[in-house]
Amino acid sequence: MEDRRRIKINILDILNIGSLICKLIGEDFNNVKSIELEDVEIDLESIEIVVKPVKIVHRKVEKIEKVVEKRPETEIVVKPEVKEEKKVSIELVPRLVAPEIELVEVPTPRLQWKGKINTVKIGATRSEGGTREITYVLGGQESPQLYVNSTTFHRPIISMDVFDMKIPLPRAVKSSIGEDVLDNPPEWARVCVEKFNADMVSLHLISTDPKLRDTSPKEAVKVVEEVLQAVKVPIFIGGSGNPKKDSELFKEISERFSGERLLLSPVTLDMKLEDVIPVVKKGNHAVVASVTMNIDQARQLTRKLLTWLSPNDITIDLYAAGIGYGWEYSFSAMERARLAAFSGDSELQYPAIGAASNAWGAREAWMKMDPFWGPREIRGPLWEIITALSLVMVGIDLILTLHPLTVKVVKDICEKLSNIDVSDGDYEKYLEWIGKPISVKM
Amino acid sequence: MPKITKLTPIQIYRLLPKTNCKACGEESCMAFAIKLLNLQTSIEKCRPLVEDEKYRKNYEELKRLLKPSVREVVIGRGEKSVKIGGEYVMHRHELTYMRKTVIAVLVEDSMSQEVIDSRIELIKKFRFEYLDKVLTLDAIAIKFSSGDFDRFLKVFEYVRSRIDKPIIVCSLNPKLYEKIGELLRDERPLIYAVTRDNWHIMVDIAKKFDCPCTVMHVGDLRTLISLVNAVKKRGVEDICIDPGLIPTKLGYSIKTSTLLRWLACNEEYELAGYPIVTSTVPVWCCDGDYTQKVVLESCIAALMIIRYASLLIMYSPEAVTYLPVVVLRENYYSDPRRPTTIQPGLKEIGKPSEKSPVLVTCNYALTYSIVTSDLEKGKVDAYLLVIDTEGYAVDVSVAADKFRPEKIAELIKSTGIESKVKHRYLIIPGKAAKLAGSIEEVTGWKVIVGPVDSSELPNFIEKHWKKIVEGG
Repeated sequence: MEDRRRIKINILDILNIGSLICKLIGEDFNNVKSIELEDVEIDLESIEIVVKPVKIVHRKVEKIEKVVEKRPETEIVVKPEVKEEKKVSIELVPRLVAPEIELVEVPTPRLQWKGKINTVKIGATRSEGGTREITYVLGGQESPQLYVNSTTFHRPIISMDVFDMKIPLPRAVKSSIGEDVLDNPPEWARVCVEKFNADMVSLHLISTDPKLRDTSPKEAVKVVEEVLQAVKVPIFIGGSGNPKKDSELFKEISERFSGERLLLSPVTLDMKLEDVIPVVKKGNHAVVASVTMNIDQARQLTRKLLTWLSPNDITIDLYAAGIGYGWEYSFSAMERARLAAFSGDSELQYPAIGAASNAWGAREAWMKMDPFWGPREIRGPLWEIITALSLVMVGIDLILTLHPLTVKVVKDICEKLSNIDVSDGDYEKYLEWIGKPISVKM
Repeated sequence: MPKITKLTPIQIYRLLPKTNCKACGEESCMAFAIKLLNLQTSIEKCRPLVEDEKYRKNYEELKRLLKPSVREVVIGRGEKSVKIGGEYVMHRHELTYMRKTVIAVLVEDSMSQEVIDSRIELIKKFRFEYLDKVLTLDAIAIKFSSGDFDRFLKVFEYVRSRIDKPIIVCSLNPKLYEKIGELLRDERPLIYAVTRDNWHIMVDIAKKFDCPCTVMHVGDLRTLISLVNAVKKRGVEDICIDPGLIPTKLGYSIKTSTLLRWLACNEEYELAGYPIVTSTVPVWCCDGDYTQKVVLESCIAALMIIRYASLLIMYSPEAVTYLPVVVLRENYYSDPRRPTTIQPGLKEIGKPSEKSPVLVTCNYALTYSIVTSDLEKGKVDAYLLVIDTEGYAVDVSVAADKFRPEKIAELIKSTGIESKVKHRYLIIPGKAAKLAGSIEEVTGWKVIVGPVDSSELPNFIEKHWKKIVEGG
């Protein structure tokens, strides 16, 4: 894994290091006695820390498990009498001695990339002019994700969405996050980071939408302030998508939170960029250049943005569609953009952002369906998870999500994806399925 | 050999009879050449080329030029068969992918009758309507776990009598295959798997019964490829490759299949040019509770589809595991050169009545699914007239004159919507506003210009519809 996280820790904080690591690693380490922080840079020297198992309870997730467990038709019984009947059992995998095979030479792929993705730092610590305790560096990779000649896995940053007003959300999302925080953005942000282990928070100021509440930029910054107080991770700020209003909003935020290195989205071609971007630059923030699956427009936009910004201030969002709803268009657009970037197209060599949360637009994610298709409490997050994983595979650097289970599962899969080397041979037990009956504990 | 994406129609045309005989159904040999290059027809449609001795060389040359980088392998016989592989490119935008990943559900001969029945039931019941297609699970894998050949034989017979899908036999024991020999001849199942230990016996079985086989080796690519080479040298052609799925080391599995595909498509390395078979069953050997495995298997299947698996052997008893996977597969294997369209016609949203609104939209699949999803989300009961815009979105089709009032009029007649509703109002997309006048003129229905964004439709209808219908 690449070195992508930087944490600043005061010497007093060392006492709280256990909880900090909880945040970083999540609740899946119940059985872990010691953790080596290989991908974490800490102000101290490289250390090994022993922490006691901490159990973070996922109330709603457990509920889902029960829903599935209850289903009676899934019971699997491997009848023991089969083996008893037969006195002489035939070996499932007989010991055979095959003749040695002639070893052939596998060609080394003739493939060399000419470009790499720029790095964009988000969040700033006190010494850097902000108030964050953790910052991230997006980008920096030199080949497509787990491609022909990659030697490392590029781990994306996982953000969780928070909205500044109560909006209609799928039931599975509401119940898993907790109804009580949905009209309390700072509290919502806090549970995302502390309870659900999100790397960062994406705060969507949708109430500023002239078609919704039309909250003024001055009013909207209050929520940003509260969220910055509540969590110590970098923050992504989403506007309403109204170019005029977002311009005002981004200017206000850039000035008010100068030095915080926020990530502002969406910056689009129909904005008066010359008006907004210089202010963003002055406040030392980063932007998300947003287009809809159109690579030419992405080039055009990043080219324009370079008038005011450095290449290390820009990220691209080509729009991530959920599976079943135009996913193939956005996947191919993202894939083409990345291949072009690595082939040397500097206008596309920017870290990429993708909102897996768009998956919730799919009716399969939120609708009540015949019980055969599974409870929506699991079908919904699964829709988002699979969408997010497709973004992982195309090398997206920052993935926005809505459901806690997505964060948990995607992080777990990323861990598994980061293991490329099998030279330790520690995998035999996963191959045994072919040679013995599978036993599934329900 | 040039890559198919680098060939020109002229290079193909030169090798055709150039007689424009139209036997292939095309207007000219040039048109046929273009279709061949787009992989929209097969060389064999040109009868003179195949039958006439003087074209023999050209025919062979064409076959060579249009040969896929990944071999096409057929599993099963006749109606029940399925093709996998036959791929040309690494990335779908380079051309298109050809044969969508086949998903097989695993049963074990040691399972109880009820459990085997429930798996068969899962495959049979799994029919998911997506756009105008029905997405299904495609095959069944039977694994030898009982240690009793007779039991396996019974289970095999039972399964094939109850389900009409191609079969995969999972066992490393060559004796089993010998035991069920005649069934192999009948069914032509995929053998899973040939390994470094059993290959010398398995190749003879694969040859004798003419069955495709999967060569499996985990942990190092060189041995895997060498094994493929050994099997191939012994005269077996229908080979699949399984580089092994290690749930805790997914990076290895993904990277290895990616490398195989690269070598096949971009380095003309034939030993890598076989369809990849992956079993996600090892997920069920991991730690974790039942729900976690239901989710994990879905995730890994999706990842492996994205990275080149042509066939997946899966285990989950839950339909929810497969649902997002088959949708992703459908999307991934759709032809990027053509917009995905849906059949024009009248679609019912919710439970429309004679007072429900009638809306018009284009037949671009993405637009259609967004519009229907928005309406369903807003719990709107409505009729949706989907007109043939040749797969263009509303704005494009309006600009390109594909959103034609005449087509709406035809559809009003052919669908009998006039007898289904009492009113005569059409809600058209905001982006088609400029056509409002001509649509009224041609159809005789009153036109209401709806919102530009379909997510506003439920609000729009709630606000205006009742007033319009009652007022008008």
